[in-house]
Amino acid sequence: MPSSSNNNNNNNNNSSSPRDRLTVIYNAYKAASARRASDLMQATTAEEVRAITDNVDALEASYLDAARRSLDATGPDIEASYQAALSATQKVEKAYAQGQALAARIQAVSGVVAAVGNLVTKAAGAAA
Amino acid sequence: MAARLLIALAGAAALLGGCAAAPRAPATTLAEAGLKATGSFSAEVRNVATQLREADAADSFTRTWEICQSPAPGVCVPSVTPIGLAERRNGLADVVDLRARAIDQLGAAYAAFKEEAAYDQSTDLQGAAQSAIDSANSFGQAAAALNQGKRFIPAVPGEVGALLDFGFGVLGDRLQRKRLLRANREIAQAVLQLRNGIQNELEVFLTLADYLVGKRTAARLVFYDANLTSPMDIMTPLAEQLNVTLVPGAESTIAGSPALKTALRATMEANSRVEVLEAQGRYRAGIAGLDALLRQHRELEKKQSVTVGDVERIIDQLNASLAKYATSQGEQGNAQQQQQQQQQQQQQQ
Repeated sequence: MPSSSNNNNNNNNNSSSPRDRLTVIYNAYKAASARRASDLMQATTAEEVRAITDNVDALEASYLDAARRSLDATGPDIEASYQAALSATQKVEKAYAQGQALAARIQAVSGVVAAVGNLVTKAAGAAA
Repeated sequence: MAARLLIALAGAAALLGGCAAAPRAPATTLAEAGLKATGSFSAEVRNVATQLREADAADSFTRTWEICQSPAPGVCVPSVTPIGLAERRNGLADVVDLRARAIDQLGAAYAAFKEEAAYDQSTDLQGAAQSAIDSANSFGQAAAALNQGKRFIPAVPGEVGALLDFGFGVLGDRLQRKRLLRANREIAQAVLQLRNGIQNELEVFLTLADYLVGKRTAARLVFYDANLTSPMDIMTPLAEQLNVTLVPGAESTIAGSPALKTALRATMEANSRVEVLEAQGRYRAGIAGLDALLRQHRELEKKQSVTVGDVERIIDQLNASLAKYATSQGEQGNAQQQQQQQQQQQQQQ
């Protein structure tokens, strides 16, 4: 059974938090699910069998819905963290590329100087 | 003119001497720790999504077997997981995958950080400066030749070149230091956001771990109750844990004793509890890993050096737990495979 020790419930009254509700719903499903096998062994009609399985299925659906609602509620935070990580990645990559570009620019300038030097050398040869 | 530009730039760079060096080594260490932490955590979260998607087969098997135990007439027919439940599980798996996606993106940020830290801008700029100086000197030489053989004065004398060389190195270092520290802050911000988001979802993931292990355990118990698996899969590890040796023929002793079979069933349920705690522990370890990374980002900002011992320790624990989980899954698969082979041999005989 999951603990609720990390519950951020700031309510001072008796109202329940979404986490409390999730735990209650989950525990209800878990208890019914654990009983299902023995309940079915005691069921003597098809209607009883259907009622037992439908009951557990409904509780399981409630748990999955509650879990989904909880994750949907924090979805924007996760999306924001994804965007923050994406932005960090892009900024780091861009800054790195710009950093490398400085050396590349200097190399380019020296390339131009060398090219001009070659022209001058040829001109000197022609003049001689 | 290009040579003059280079000299001016290099002169400015030379003034930067004495600045703190780019923290490349600690940044590399931190980036590697970040890659490991995000990789392990992402695998754990994706594993939850995968198990949610794959739950239908075992679930349908368990529910049908349980229904078939009922004395009610005509109910023993295949009972597949209702489509509504399957859709809910798949929908939940998609949402869980978004968490793994965010963790993976953080891993990508660490990969970029590592690439930046691996780059040595100081050396790169020094190399670029050297080739610029060489070009300028060649240019001066050529110009002198054109000037009817007048004495060549190097455009950048050797001593000055060495100084400029040093200046470019310092410039590269300083530029990279600035970038690394800025990246450190950016990534730390993303870590913090992810950590807070995931911490707020802790309860959901704790119940999901319990839910998924519960599903697997229910199916395993059916296998066991229906004599489809060997009781030795449970008995042997238990005997090893208790440091005792089982007598030959232990399996047939168990098969003939309802009390022993029931006792082993209890052991399976106890093992399931441990499995839940381990799965929940792995999720908590993932959050603890992000916390440890945050501390190391702060350290890099403050001291520009990091010790990632605690990150490593948490990740090692997480990986050990994952490895144990993978092994136990593999052992179960092997045991089933061995049993199938035995059955085939018996049939052939």
